[in-house]
Amino acid sequence: MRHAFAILLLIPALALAQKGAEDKKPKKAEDAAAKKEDAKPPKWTAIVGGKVWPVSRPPIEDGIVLLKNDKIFAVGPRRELSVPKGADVIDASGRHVAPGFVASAASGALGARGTSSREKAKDKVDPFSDVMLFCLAAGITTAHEGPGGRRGFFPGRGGGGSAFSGTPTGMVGGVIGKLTYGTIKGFELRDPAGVYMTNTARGGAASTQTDAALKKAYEYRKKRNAWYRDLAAKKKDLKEPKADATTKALARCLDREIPLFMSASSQKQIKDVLELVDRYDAPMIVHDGLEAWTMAREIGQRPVKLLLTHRGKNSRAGTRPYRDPHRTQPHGWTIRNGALLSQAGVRWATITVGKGVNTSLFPGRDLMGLTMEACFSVRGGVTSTEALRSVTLSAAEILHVDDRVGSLDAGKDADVLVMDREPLDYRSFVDLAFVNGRLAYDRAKVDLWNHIQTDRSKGLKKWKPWGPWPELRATDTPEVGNGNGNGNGNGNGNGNGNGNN
Amino acid sequence: MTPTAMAFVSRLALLALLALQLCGLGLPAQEKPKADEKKSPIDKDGGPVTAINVGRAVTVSGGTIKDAVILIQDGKIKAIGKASEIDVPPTAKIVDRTSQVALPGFVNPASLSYTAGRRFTAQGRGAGNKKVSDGVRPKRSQSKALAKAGITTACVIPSGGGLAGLGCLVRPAADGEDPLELSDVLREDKVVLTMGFETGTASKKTWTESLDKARKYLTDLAAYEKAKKGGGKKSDPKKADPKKADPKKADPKKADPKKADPKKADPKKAELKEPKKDPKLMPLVDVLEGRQAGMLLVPSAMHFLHFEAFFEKEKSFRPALLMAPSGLRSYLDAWRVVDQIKALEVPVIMPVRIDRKPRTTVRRVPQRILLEKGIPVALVPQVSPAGLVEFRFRLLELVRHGVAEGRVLRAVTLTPAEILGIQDRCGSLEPGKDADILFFSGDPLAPTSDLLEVLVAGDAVYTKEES
Amino acid sequence: MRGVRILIAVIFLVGLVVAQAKRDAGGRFAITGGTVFTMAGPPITSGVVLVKDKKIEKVGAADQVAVPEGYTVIDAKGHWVVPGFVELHNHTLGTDLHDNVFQVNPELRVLDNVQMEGPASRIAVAGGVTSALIIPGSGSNMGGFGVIVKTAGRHPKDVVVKFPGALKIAQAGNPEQYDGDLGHTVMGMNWMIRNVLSEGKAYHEAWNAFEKGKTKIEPDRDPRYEYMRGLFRGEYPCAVHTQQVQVVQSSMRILHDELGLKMVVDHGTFDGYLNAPEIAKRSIPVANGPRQFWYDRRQGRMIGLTAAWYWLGVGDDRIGINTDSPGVPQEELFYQGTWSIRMGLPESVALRALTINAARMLMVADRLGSLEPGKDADIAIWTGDPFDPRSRTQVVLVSGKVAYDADRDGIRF
Repeated sequence: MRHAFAILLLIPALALAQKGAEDKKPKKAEDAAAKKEDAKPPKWTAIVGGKVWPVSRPPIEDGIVLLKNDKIFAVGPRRELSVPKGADVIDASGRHVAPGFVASAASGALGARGTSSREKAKDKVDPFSDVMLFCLAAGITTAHEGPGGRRGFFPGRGGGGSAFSGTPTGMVGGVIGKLTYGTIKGFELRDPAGVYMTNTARGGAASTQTDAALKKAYEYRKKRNAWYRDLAAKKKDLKEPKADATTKALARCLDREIPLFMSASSQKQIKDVLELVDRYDAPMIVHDGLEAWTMAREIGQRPVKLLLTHRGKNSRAGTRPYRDPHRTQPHGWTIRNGALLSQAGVRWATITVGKGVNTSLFPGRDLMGLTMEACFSVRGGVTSTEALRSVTLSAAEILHVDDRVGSLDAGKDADVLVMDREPLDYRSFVDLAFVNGRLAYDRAKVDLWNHIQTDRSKGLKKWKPWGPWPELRATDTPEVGNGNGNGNGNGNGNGNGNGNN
Repeated sequence: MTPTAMAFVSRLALLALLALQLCGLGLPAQEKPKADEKKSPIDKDGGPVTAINVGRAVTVSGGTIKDAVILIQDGKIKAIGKASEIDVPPTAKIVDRTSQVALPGFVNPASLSYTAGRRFTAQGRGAGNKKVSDGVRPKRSQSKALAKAGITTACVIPSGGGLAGLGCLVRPAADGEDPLELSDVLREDKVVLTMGFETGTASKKTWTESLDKARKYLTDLAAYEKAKKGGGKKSDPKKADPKKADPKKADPKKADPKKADPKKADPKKAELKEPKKDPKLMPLVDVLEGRQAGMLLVPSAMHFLHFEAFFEKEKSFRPALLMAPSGLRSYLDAWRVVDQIKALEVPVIMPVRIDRKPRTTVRRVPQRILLEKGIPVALVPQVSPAGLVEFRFRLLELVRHGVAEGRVLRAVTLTPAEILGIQDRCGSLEPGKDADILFFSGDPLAPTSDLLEVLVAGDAVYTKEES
Repeated sequence: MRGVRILIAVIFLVGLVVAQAKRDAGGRFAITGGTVFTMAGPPITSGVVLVKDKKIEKVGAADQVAVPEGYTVIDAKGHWVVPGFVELHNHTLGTDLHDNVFQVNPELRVLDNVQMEGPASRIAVAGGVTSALIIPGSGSNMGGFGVIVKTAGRHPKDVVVKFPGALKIAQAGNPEQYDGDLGHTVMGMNWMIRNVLSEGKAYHEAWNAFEKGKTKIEPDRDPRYEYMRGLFRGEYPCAVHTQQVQVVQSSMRILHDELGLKMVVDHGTFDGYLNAPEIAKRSIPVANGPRQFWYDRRQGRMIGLTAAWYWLGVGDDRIGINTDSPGVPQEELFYQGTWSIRMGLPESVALRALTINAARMLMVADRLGSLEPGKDADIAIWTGDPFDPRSRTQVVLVSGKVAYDADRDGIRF
């Protein structure tokens, strides 16, 4: 626990360090742009009257979330805040206001195609990507995509794949970005997101290579630090130690400046990770962690954080890691994974089983069910608060972007959701999603989910089935009709379906 | 302009004028004094005159004229107007087309005709001074296809990203047996600078460099000319590029005595010399200066958003947008950025195709959305073997989906001509313009009417065979 | 540590022996303090459910039902007491459920493949699922006869609720193999089931005539058609894997209209719901799953499938939800309900779909599906709304026995 706290303290320091490292020229230009912005009157948006879930603090009944341009200006109870003149006021009474969710392992949510170290995601992003739209509808406003993975939206077919590939020797890549649907401004949070390594429990070449790569980075870092010291001491005839880009990036991981990701699912794989962590004092973000609960204490003692699935990895029972009665030591999948890890002080974020958006296969295993995935951890003993945190602030902290996103706090990015029920309710839909203070998704205006009413017994709104065998519709005039409820029998559906609101 | 046109216009009621203007149909300019009215439009020293009597002439620029006469001499339209108001010279050859409708020939601003098997793409890096005419290989079959589609002027554009190259104007040639030569079809070279943009860091870098270099050239040139005029006293040395100012690199041949004088007076100013012209870049400079028509391939709305920063940075860079999918997106989504396009005040060239709403099979007409916003739209046939064949029927489909007929016709005649800067030569039936005329058996956008004859510069390039 | 393990094992074994001894007797339980969803009336807040000899003895409000002496009280205060869920479409609680050599296999049966308390059923119980219809997979057109089982119990006598449970028919989507063999197209499959069912019907009618004394000639006994007799007597339904609008239509026409069989639309996904009015006219029940939504390209809309069937007229009593386990793991049956509600189905209907409606569809509503006196004591005590993934089961009774207790067994799911 102490360790985790130390890391927490480190994060702002790291953020500062990174900022300092940036080139100064563009910063000046930014300042100039900022001054220009200041000249314009700020754009105020006030979300008033809803129950506010800041995540960093307890919920606020009848609260106000005040957005100034692309940042959150203030969050608090209505009696303590006033709305500036000229602000766009959004009435959220009876509704819930939450920070945008953070998908800590996604594939395709950012609409960026083929990100590589040379091509930046922000230069390739498709702000009209359908996956992005579906993810926004599920409340995701920030996503992390590792290198590789399948991208794209396939209505009628499965979508998404593994978000993490990497190489045994480390691959610099991935991106953390915003789902800025309809614009490319303010897309990038960090690119590349970190270094990705693969490690197999089979040992052999892969893990040997991994070990060698980390060793190289470790040695390089030593030399580099010595060089820094010599520079500071103003010694003469100094030579900068040389290394390839990946080694330099790995050294930055060891500096705790950028994250190092590694997929590990089984006990053996996680054990390998912990060994590497010990050997090279390397902080790690472990993706998957199916059997992590079996060594929760060991993980808790190390700078290791987890991107966690709470349910069995695969939906097929054949490959489902049920407990093997012939093995004596604890192993396999358990719904208690998150709870046991939390008890041991391990920080984790929730990820989904499928990393993309899947509109045709079995429901609730992809990004569209991110919050519900978090809910599964509650079954195992995690509190609802922590479950919500695992798709917001915890995820942001693990990805080192908590200075920008993850909670409703003044100064953070204005990524705000207005939902019709509380954030973790399985019936709740995102009504409005603000990304960088801009309304990126409005459920009423996108014909995806707007036929579903908050009160399910009222039927489906303005929905008319297509066929059989209907008139061919030549234009996109919205179908105007009431719910189609004509349920027979016990009257539950009868008549109620005609409710037009 | 001409007496006939004057007479015609003078008869129109004011309301009709207003209505026409509202419809986006301009009127022929009315500049000439009345004294000219009695002057004959016919050039006495010119070639033979043909007078074509048509049932209706759809001029595009000046409304529709019933029972019209078109006088043609030396490949040009000399006069057009009501039969009762045109003096047909007795020597004129009279052609009777009174049951037919005349229409200006279609102008295709973005064509791949006469070039083998290419596609629209924004990939790759080109060179601004590359001439597409070097790659034009005219073929009789393609000439026929163009003529049959009613396209009398096509701008062949190079494909590619960055500064793709310079497009040229071609036209269909009259029937014949001999293999076609370039000169048979080439109407004008270097008409438009075609550019392409693909998303990506590398592509953006290329564009930043190109625009920066062009702007720098212009700045340097301005500084140089200022220095030249004012004896170099007032010019700002900071504006001169230190690299360019390197005396070692100065070309001694170019150093003329005029320049030499200030050199002695002030060594700093003397270093100022005429900025070097990069031939690859000059067409872009011309586009920035408004001397050259420009056309930018931004395949979809996504590409537009990625390019937007360049428009913000370079306010004088306003090329026409060619928004045709290049295999990246199956639908035409220019409508998504309709407000931004409107703000730029640029025309849009897009394929003539009914599209569908994203993610659905519901049809939507993207052209209509742009036109209703007041954005000039030029329509091009689909790049496919069937594209030319079905061109006219696609236009018809647009009308069926609610786009006004006048708008559709303008989008394939005058608007593309304006985009290419050749509206003084083609795009409408007006005196002085080339006699590129289509004759239909009825209303040009009716499914029952047929294209009977196509004239290019007064010569028939296509005549429907009697069946 | 080792000693402790041995001790645990010994206690466990002793427990097993005791349990075995008590098996036939059954326990007596009183579930008190919870909100009882009987599915046979409005929910009872602070209700009491008495369980005796594997059956439900009494259900009622606390002031009406007293807890007699000798009953083990299970405190369900603040919890939801819900009938055990009935799964309509399962392939995992048995083994080896594909025989793909022939397209129609009316002679095959699942009964002999039932696995007692496998790892899958242990978690299924923790998911509140207390009984399931196990049917052969859809690799062949007519897979064979399924069996309805309980998810807990060590002896086939305890486990099997009804055999045959249903005849599995798979109409398009899996069995068509397009390899040129007979019946490997949708058209061919339709001919094959028509043919084999007609033969079965003839067999049934011949025996009927003999048994009623209409004829003296005893027909030959044919094991291939033996189970068909119950089917034509209407004792069990055809569970038809059928989805997409046209396939649902042909299933309805062949099985219901032509052969007069009882059928259940199983799966029913994609745009199958467009048949809802016709299905409703014939009172055919629909079990939708495992897909709970479908992206309709024609509208660009996400259609909640169970909700669409329901709101288009299938109604309260005939709507069901399945998992197609292993498509969706068996214990996540509730989660199928969760998504159907999310996509537009009223909560109360979803609860009916997983309990009483499912029991009715399988024609075992006399034993399963609701908390009524005389029915099997299959009861799940949930910590809250069963459709909320945050709730879990605290205690699950299967046939009057505590099959799962989160405190005793640790949280399994």
